[in-house]
Amino acid sequence: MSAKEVLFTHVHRVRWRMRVQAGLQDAVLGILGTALGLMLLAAWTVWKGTPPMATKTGAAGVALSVALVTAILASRRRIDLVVCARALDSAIDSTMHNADRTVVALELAGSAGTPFVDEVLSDAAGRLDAGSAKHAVPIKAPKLSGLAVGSIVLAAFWAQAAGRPPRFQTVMTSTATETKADAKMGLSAMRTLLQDVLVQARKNGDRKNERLITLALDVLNQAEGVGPETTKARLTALTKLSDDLVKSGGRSGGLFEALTQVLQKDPTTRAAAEAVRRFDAEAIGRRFDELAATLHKAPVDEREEAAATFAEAAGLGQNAAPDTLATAAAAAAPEAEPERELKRLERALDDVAQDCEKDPDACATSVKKAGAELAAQAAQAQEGEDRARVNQALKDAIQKITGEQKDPPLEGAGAGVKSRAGDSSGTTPSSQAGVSRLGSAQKSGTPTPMKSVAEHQAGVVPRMVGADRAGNDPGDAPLGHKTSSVGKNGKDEHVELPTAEGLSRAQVIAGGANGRVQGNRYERVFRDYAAVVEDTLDTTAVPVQRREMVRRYFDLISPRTEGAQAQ
Amino acid sequence: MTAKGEARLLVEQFQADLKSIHDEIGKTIVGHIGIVQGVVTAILSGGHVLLEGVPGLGKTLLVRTVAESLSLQWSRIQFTPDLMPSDVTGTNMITEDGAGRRFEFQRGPIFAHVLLADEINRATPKTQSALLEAMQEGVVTVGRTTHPLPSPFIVLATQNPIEMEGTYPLPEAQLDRFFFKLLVLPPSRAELHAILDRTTGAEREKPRAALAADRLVALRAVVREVPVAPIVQDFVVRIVEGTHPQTSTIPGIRTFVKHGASPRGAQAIVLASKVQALRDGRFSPSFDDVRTVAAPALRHRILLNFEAEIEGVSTDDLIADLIKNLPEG
Repeated sequence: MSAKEVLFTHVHRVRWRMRVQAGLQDAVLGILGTALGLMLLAAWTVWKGTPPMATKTGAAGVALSVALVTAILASRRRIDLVVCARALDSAIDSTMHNADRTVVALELAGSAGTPFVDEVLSDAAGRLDAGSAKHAVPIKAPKLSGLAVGSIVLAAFWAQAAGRPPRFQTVMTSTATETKADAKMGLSAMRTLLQDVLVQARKNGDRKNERLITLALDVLNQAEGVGPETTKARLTALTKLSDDLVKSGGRSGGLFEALTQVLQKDPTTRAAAEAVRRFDAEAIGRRFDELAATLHKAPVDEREEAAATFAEAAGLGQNAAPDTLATAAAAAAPEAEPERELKRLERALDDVAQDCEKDPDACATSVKKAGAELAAQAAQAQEGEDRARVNQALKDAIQKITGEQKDPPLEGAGAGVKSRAGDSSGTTPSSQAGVSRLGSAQKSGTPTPMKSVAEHQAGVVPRMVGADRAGNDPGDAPLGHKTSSVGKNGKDEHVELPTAEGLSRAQVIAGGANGRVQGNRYERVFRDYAAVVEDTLDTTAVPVQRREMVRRYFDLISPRTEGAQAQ
Repeated sequence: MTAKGEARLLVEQFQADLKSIHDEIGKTIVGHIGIVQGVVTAILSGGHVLLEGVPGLGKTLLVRTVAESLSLQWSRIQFTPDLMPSDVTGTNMITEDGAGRRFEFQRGPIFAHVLLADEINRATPKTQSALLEAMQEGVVTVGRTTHPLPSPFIVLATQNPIEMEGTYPLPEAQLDRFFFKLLVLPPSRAELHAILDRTTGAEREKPRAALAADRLVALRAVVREVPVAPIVQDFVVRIVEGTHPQTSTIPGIRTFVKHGASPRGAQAIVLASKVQALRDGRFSPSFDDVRTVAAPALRHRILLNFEAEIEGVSTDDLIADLIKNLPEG
């Protein structure tokens, strides 16, 4: 065998091994691709609920076919002989000047046979031996082969089971007790039950469930005479209707519970009942719990409505889950009337307190309204406990309202009970609503008319010289003390008189928000707040940047002299 | 034409001759192995060499030693600004003998096997151009008469990269005629010790003639017989093609090169690769041979633009980048 033949034999051997290796690798990729396709197909059947599209044998057959085709295509791939020669060079000796001796020889093999060319061929052939091709291209297990085998096995099993979602298995498999005839009988029983419930719902004027049941009957009518798969779809649609109604606060859960129990009684419909129960009962129970919790937080009106609905549900569905319904009904039951009214008033007073902080005018209006209602409520309260609750609520409300005005009065200035907003004279006798009217708070005996809130806001604040009593009525509390509201028919509002500097603490803060950051009063308020903030910053884990931001804010609103303010 | 088996013998003789040349040169020249190999390669390929280096590195000594070791007639011209072309080529002079007066061509120093053109860039372009015909054609034309130069004819020129004031950079046409441009670098510490030992001792061994002129011509013929694989030749072509900014795939070359290498560059690479293969006892050049000789064969044939000068980019950098990124096949 000439050197040229030896050379070409080895190069072709390398090419054959390369093709085999490429075929194996491509087959693995083909199997992987097939497995991926089968998995996607299985996912599609699960998603759509269609029957399985492949068996294990079929899936494996497809994978092997794809692998075979890809392997054949790979083996037909064109591989340049120079590439094979390079592989030989690399396997034999890849050092400098030796890395391309076979390549050069292969290239020169086609040229005229000069002595130098012959020497080149001889030199190249002399380097080759029987193991050269094997070393150049060792045939080994392709990459990802393990993954390919695993994935195709998984895909084969999945593809077979894909069309049977577990939730329908009891009803639809041929091995279950239910046959097509059984399913039909079960549907008839369901229809009968639904028709009974429909009559009852119409009698009770329950529009929601009437609509549901009508739809359910339509579904059942459509399901008759069709295959089990279609029946599954109908049942699913029925379930969805039930879920929707549960979400909207209806009583379909009870309806379905009743339905399943009726179906359970008859052996021919027991399988269908089991199926219905399996995919509805637990979910409906959970939803009832959620519904009860939601209703507990809902406004009174909605709770009353829901309670009525539950009551109807409990009466309508004799087989309804008693515990669940009882829980929901108990959660939705209205509270006792006085307590509910009191809570409403408490909320109203909270709103009043917030209004007073924001807007004194609105505060006056709200106080007037809430005072009248409180008075009426207190008058109606017969029981001692109720009266105590009214009193406590009133105290809390007053505390909330006056909480912003607890600055000690300046020397010589008396704290009193301010008359209602807008009552500027302060000399009006006690009102019918029971609100203590204040005379001009004075100590020296010189009456000084009080200014209205509007005037306070405008900065026209008279200097109060003090007073001994709040108002002129006997029994009025001394000035500087909170006015007791017990035994009053109206609503007293405990406020502090404007101090020597004229503004309440809340007004000072409101003024600061509008840019009036000067004066002793503001400085005092600022100092208090700043001290609290500093304490908080020192004792709380606040990020440094936030800490600086807070300090910067307080720098910006720090008290200023009038000259600085003018600048 | 050699018969089968004789090729191996030729290669072995080639290696032996080459070794003897290197041994003789090594008696005088310390280090500079790459430079010596480059000079010998260019001589065996039939080319001329431009040596570039600062003064005192032994360029002139190297050239003279090579000439002596080859047993070739050599002459030296110190190029200066006032050197005239006739000072190189020779001129017609009036001579008088018994027959009367007549013009007679007086040969210049160029008529030698080895011409040492020292500091060639100090002569004017006019004088430099006097070498063009001699380097390419191996002849000198004076007046109407063309005078052949002795064969082999080798120009070994040196130039100094510093002290550029008053110099005339070689024109591209002449640069292209140099087979190799070799950069002479300062010796290493060990080489410097060896230089001191040899040059400050009592006796200095002289090189002897290792190769006759006819043997050199025969070796050149052997080089020409070495086959080059088409894939290797294609690699050379793609290298030369890659030095052109219009066709190159290397961004640096597209940016910094004004003109690429000429076909003479490809010729130089192929011939030098053949010598490299024979030197190693191989019968055909490899890709590595091409890579080895690409830089000295191309560095003076690539003309950089102004941006490259500003950026300090050298042709060696660009060639290295090109070879690194160029696939073999």
